[in-house]
Amino acid sequence: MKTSLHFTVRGDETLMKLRAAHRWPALQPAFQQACASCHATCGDCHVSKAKSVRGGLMDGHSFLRVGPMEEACGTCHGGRVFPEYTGKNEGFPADVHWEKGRMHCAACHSVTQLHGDGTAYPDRHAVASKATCLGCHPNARAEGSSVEQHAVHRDRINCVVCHATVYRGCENCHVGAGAKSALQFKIGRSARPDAPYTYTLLRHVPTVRGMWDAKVADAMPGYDAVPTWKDTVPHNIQRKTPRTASCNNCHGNARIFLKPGDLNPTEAAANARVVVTTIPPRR
Amino acid sequence: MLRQMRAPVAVLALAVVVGLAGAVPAAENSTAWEAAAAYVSSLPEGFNGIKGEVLKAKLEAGEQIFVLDVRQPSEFAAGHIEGALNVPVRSVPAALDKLPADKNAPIVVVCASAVRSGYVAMALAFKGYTNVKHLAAGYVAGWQKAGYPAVK
Repeated sequence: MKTSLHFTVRGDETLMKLRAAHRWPALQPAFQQACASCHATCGDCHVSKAKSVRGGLMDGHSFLRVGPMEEACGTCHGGRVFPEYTGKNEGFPADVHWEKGRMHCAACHSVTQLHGDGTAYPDRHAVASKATCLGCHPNARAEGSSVEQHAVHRDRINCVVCHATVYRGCENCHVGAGAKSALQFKIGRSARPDAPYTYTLLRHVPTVRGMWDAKVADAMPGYDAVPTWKDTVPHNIQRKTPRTASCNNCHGNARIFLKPGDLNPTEAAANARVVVTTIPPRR
Repeated sequence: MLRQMRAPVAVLALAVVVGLAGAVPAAENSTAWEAAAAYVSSLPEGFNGIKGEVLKAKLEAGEQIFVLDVRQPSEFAAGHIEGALNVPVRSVPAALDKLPADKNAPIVVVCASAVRSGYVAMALAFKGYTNVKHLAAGYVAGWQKAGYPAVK
């Protein structure tokens, strides 16, 4: 449990350390007070509900092995993932795993992933036991797939590019003027060196250059080291989407890609390596 | 937002019915009334409006949506949604050949403030188009003020 990212919130710390660079010692106390205060302990998932829904117990004093999805998971992940998964984004369908299978979060996210396996991973992407599409759908692998498009795109494109619908991202910052969520869909390059694909979906995160100004001066001299459009895994997977219907819903469709002109000028340098500069031509 | 939209759109829907009846003043047109009554009484939640945020996201995600802008050419020229076809409201009945041949294809009608688009969405439904919505709040409040991409 001590290596669980739920407990350590190490993913946020990893990114913030990169942005803070030599200023990390100055920023760390403010980070602990703000971001890192959100960590979960055993009872937060197995006994009680989150403070965000005024707390209380899920089922009296019972210790639930797997709590109800909407209370055990949805209260902390209720801003983006849970509504996305259950089809609460107006105009967009629920995830096929929920729509067809009523699958609990824990059906894909194993106890090892959630509790940690003893290794202190830097972020969720690095976790060895994380949920993957191919873990349950090995036949979708490019090699030998009966689906022509899987073979054509090989390992260059993340599954979600074609098999997810629109998701929510955020603009502006939590600490400053207040973040505003917005529906997004942008294909870009992955900034993860360990990513097994080149292109994926990107979600805008609300980290603005001056978000710590009120607490710590010059807190993020390394701001440009981390993109603010980050790899995302939308939880609204569909077998069929506009992108599985036609090549030209991506090829030649400039607005589906994150382009340099789409960036806020203050974030241009941070996202230079994830934008797409050459749109694939129409087929 | 939907709750805010409900009252004005309901008024619009009634105005459409009244307007339709007014178009044939000599006598009650029972066929037209039956069609109008069926349309109004089965209006879905949201009154066939689509929020600008949702339309923008759908277009960005590659959905093939036919955007029909029924404003005047001068309004259209000042800024419109990329790929939209401009047919001023009164010219729509004579321009059906410019619409998708598939009457089940998604169409979103746009005007400045969701008044003209409401009339056209209803008229197209009477003509058998099954998947017609209109931009809630209209182009000015629902798209332009939100800062969504526009072309001139």
